[in-house]
Amino acid sequence: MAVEFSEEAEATFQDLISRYPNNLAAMLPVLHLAQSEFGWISVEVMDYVANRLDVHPTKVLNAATFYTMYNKQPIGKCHIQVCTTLSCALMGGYEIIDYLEDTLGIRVGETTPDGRFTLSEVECLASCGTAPMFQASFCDGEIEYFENLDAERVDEVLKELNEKLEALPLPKDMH
Amino acid sequence: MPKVNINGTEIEVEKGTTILKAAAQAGFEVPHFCYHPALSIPANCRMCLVEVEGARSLEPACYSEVTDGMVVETKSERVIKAQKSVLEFILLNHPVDCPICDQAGECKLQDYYMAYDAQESRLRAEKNQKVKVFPIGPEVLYDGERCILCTRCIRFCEEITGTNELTIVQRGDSAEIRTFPGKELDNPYSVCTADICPVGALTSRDFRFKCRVWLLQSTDSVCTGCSNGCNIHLEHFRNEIQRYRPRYNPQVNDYWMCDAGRLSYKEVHTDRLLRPMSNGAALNWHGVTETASAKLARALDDDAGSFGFVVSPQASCEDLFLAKRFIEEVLGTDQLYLGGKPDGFEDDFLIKADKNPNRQGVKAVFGGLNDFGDVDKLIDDIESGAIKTLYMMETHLPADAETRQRFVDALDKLDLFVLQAQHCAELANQAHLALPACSHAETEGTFVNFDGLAQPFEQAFAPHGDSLPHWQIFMRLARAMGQPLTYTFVHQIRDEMFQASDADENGEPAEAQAE
Repeated sequence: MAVEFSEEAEATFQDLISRYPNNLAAMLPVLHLAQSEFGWISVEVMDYVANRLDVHPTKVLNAATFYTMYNKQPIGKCHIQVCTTLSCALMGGYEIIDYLEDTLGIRVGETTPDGRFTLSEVECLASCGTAPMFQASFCDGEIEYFENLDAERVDEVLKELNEKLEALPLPKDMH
Repeated sequence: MPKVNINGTEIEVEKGTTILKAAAQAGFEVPHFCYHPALSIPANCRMCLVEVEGARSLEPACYSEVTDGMVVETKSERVIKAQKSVLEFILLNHPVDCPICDQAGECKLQDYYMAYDAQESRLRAEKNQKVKVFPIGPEVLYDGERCILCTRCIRFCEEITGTNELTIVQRGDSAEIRTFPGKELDNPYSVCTADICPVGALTSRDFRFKCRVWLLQSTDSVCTGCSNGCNIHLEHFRNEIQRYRPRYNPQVNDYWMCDAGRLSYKEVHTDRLLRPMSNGAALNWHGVTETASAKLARALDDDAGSFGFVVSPQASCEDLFLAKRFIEEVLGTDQLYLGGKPDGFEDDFLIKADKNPNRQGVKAVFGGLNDFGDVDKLIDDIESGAIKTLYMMETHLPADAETRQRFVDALDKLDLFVLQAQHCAELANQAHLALPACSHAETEGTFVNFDGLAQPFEQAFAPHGDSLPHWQIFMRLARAMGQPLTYTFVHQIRDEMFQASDADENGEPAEAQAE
């Protein structure tokens, strides 16, 4: 599939670059836009972004590889990022990870065989008052917080997520 | 102009001078990795931290400008502590594989470790491992473990060549220099990145494992790759050139030179004509001088009007000056042709289309290029019999392969063909007399670059084989033919030449500055 912004993404792109003094400054939001549009940041996507921003591709490579939240490999439709920083760790963040590992049948850093979930452990997501929690980022760029978790609540959330994921494409098929 | 006190030395400097430059003027070295005088200043290596009186923290000397009344300490306890810490950080994951590193001996990290750190490593954990041999470009290899991420190479590609091939990927201790996937560090100046790399991260593929740098002897010379005349350090070991390195000259090439020029040293050691030959038989100089003078004298007696001479813009001014005297006073011919390499690639930076180092020298010595016939005329004259005796300097002709073949075929028609050249090419076999000339590395002389700048080059080592400088060959023949040209040293020719020609000797290259 050709790497090209849809009409909607194109409008967002134009809006984004109008907000910054130069194109280089718009790099990070545009990469996020590209990730939600194309599922992951492949070499082709970096090239396309460079082209659109009229910067040299090495600048995009530099930024995209520096930040871990740009996926340079296709991951699952939903990226579950469990916080294990202090508050969450105290309130059972590690237990949530263990439970998710058992339930999904994968380890941290892996993706389920059906391509639905990728599991990660992350640092503080600024939701200490509602610990433990995880963030789910979807391949369409949506981000959702799930808070005050326990095993029961995780089951519910996973069911909820599974329903939602039916409608989403696999990131590796998005471009 | 601001007055600044550096380590107790009062010095007045231009406004806008950085502390690093002011310290250099005051005679103090401030160690630095990322700073390079020709590139922008990111101040990222932190090696040049100095103490400024009244400032809260140490300041990077490469970036901070001096102000009036500033008091700077470059050797205070705080500074020494900072220097040790910075070096400890840099060496954390550095492999210290100096014994197998080409940079060893000219490595800033080695030098600074000895001068500013010299303490045992406190690291007991295993070091990071990365790809040791990453072929980042056709001429350059990258070793991520040695890299200190000073970004000099990245800035070179951004600011000097404008090609932007390089960047840092990943972060923290996994950061490395890379090109965009599918691209290479492939620009005409790529080996300059290895020059400016302060450590052994980027190294020249050509020079790889060739010679330890402390064995090299360095001679100031001029690149013969094109008419730009980039100033070089001609570095040699046991009578063989090991590499060229650019020599700073702001009038010509700044700190840089092109890859093609850098590799042009190979010509000096390829296909050399090393013995005087007469019809394919090796002679000594005594024998060949007698034979040559007799044959030339006979040819002149028979038909002086059919004597042609090919002058080479590859030869130095001194050689050309004697060629001119030899032609005018001994041979008395006026049928001159211009040899030299054909035009090639050029760009708007250093590389010039004219691949001959001394065309302007021919112009200056012979008073213009109008008297010279071109290759087509040369071939026509030989084919028509207008030229029966040809004396040729060097083997190059500004012609394509087809025209060159026509020339080689036409050589059969000559009664006498004398070749005086560095290389055999396909001509030495055809020559009735082949006289071995030496390269620019084996003699001294002057080249005039495209801009009219006369630049001297020095002798690096003794001539290979039995070869001699062109001017000495002309002197031998002239003496044998009864009209001696009397010179002993090149500088005698040089003095006379500059009196005779209009070219002014303004070409003393500036002293190299610290990189």
